[in-house]
Formats: sequence, C-alpha cells, structure tokens
Amino acid sequence: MSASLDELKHLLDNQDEIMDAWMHRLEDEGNEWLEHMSIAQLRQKSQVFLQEISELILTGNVDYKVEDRPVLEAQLKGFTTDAAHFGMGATAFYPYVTSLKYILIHKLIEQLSSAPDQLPAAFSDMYKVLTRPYEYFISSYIAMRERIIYSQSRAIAELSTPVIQIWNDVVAMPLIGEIDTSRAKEIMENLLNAILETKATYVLLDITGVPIVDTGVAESLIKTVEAARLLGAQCVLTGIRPEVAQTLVMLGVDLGSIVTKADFRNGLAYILEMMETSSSRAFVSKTNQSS
Amino acid sequence: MVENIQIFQEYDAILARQRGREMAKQLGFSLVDQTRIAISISELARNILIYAGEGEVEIRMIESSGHKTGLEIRASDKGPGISDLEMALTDGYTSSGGLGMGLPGTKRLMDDFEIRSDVGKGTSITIRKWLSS
Repeated sequence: MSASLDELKHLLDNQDEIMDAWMHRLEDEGNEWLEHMSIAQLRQKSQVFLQEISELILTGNVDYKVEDRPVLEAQLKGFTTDAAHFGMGATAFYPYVTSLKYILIHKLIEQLSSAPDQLPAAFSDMYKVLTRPYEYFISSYIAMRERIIYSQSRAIAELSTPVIQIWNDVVAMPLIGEIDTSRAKEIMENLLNAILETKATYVLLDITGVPIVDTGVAESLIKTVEAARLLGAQCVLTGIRPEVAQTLVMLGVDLGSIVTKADFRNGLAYILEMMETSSSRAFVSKTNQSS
Repeated sequence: MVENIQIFQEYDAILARQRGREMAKQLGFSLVDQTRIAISISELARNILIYAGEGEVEIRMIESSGHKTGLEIRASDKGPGISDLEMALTDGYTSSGGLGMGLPGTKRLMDDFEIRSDVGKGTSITIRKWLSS
C-alpha cells in the first residue's frame, strides 16, 4: 500500500468534517442541485456517495468499475434521473464532484505539509476514484437522453405520416417536411397497411408540404404508387409546387406513370368522378346481366 | 460567405441543401433557382453517401470577372471514384439501382458543372449557378 493511500485514509477518518466543508462549499458556489432540493436533502444523497468514495480509497481500490459497485451505481443512476428530471445538463455532476475534489486537495495539502513529495501520488489516487463516477454519470445521462430522442423521433415519424380515411374507399396521406430514406420507407409501410385495413381503392398523396423533391424522393414516390397499385389502389399525387414541377422536368424525372393533379381539391374531385363512372359502369353491367 | 458541411448521414444532406437554399435566397435567387440549387446539393450529397459513405459539401458565394454574383458548390469525397464519367453522366444510367438522373439532372439544373474523378482516390464535383442580372 502506498504512502499516499495511507494519508488519504487518515484524511477520511473524519468524514463528517469533510461533508460539512463540502456542503458549505456547494452552498457558497450556489450549486445547481440546490435549486432543486434543500441542503439537507443534498447532504443525505451525498452521504452514500462520500461513504462509497471513502471505502474505495480506504480499500486501495482505485482502479474499480462503477458497475462492480451496486450501491454506488444505484446512487449515480439516481443522480442521472434527477438531473434529467430537473432539466439539468450532462455536466451537472461536474461542479458537484469538483467541489469535493477541492476540499480533499486542501485537506491533503494540509496533511502532507511535512511530506510534499507524496502529494502527486495522493492526488492521482483521489482523482482516479472520483473520475469514474463522473464518467459514469455522463455516459448514463447521454444514454438516457438518446433513448428519449429515439422515442421522440419515432413518435414524430409516426405523426408525420398520417393516413386519413376521407371517403368510402378513399384514404389521404398529406406529407409534410423533408423526406429521407427512412421516412420514405415509413410512408410506404403506413400507406400499404392503411390500404389493407380500409380496403381503399383510391389514395390521395399530397406533397404540398414537402420542400424538396429530388430524384431520391421522386423514386420513393414512384415505388410507393407502384406498390399501392399492386394492392389494388390507385394513387393520385397532388400538391407539386410550380418550382418543384419545373425542377423535376429539368432533372429529367419521369412521373408519367402517376396520375397527378394540381391540388388536393382537384385530386379529390378526380377520384369522386372516377368512382361515379365505375359505379355507374357496375350498375350498367348489373342491369345488363339481369336483363 | 462560405459554408462547409461534412456529410456522414442523410440528415447532413438535408442540412446541406437547406443551407444552400438559404444562401441562394440571401443572394436574391428566384424561387425556381433556389429549388434548383437545393436539389442539386441534395443529389450530390446523396451520391457521396451512396458511393463514398462520407465526404463534404462546400457552398460559397462567388463573383465572376464580369461582376456577376453566383453560388458555387463543391462536393468532394475520397470514395472509389467513377471509372466511366461519360456513362455516369448519361440519363438513366445507374450503378446503385436509383433513377440514374442525379448527375445528368444536376448538370442540366446548373450553369456550370465540372467533375474530376480518380478511380480509387475520390470524386470532386463543382457546380455553379449565376444570378442573372
């Protein structure tokens, strides 16, 4: 066991004193945690933390893993959840730990005034023990944020590809926003499912809210229309803006296989007309059969 | 006015074309030209992603010797390069299963189109659109 560890141990014999000094410092600094809880609450939370840290130092276990210390891990997870809940940033833990470091550094300098050559080793041990919790906090905080972002982006993706049944046998899909590959896939899947569910025979695909139609987007639209046709539904594409139309022609994209109408209203009118024609045809063929 | 966007994922391509559109708007390009520029950037950035995996798009304001203002976009990557440039610029030709209109289409949308490609080293495409006064 190194001499520096001995000093650290000695230092930690009086945990209460360190805790007092630490809490004082946090108060003086106006630590962010104190905006969300009282000093008594923070002290209670910090008790377990300081105990764990002390134990690690006392046992000379400076190269530990947070995952191997269930009590410390649970404690840090609690801090992470709190930080996210209170809307604190990923760095919320840093000033808190730094305060403790400051207290410990000063105590060490006091204690080792007669043997300053031992200071570097003592500092290094202390830093090692305190760095792990901080790293753990940051990575679990980021992981939690990423989970939230992922679930939100899923929610947005679902919201942004709505399918609405607007008439018997007619569904509409108003598309809004940028379309990338994953959204294009989402659009196709949602639409095909809706066609199966509603037994729709006509689809209004409106792209008024799509700012850019490049060859990639055009291709995905063509594929979607083609897939819908295989399920027995005819698509009508509406809302191509004039500048988009002009650009598509120059790009050389051929949308000739798709029925397009200027706007949603014209698209719906076209579909209703088609339905009327086909039902009257059906009527004619029925009367022909019965005669 | 120079904007440099690293292209690693599709989101970056969207970002690049949005920035391009904003810059075009600032320079006073018409709505149709803004759209042409945005779509061209989109095509080039998408190509980077499909063929090279990553690269960069640089958008800058330029001035010609005749005091014409324009926007220049350079898309470069260190991907496999294009072995047959003539084919790559032919309508409908594709080696990725796409529509095959990206490069030839972009060439039609822009005023200038320069391409440099070394097999195994990468591709650099520079396009320009001039503000008609």
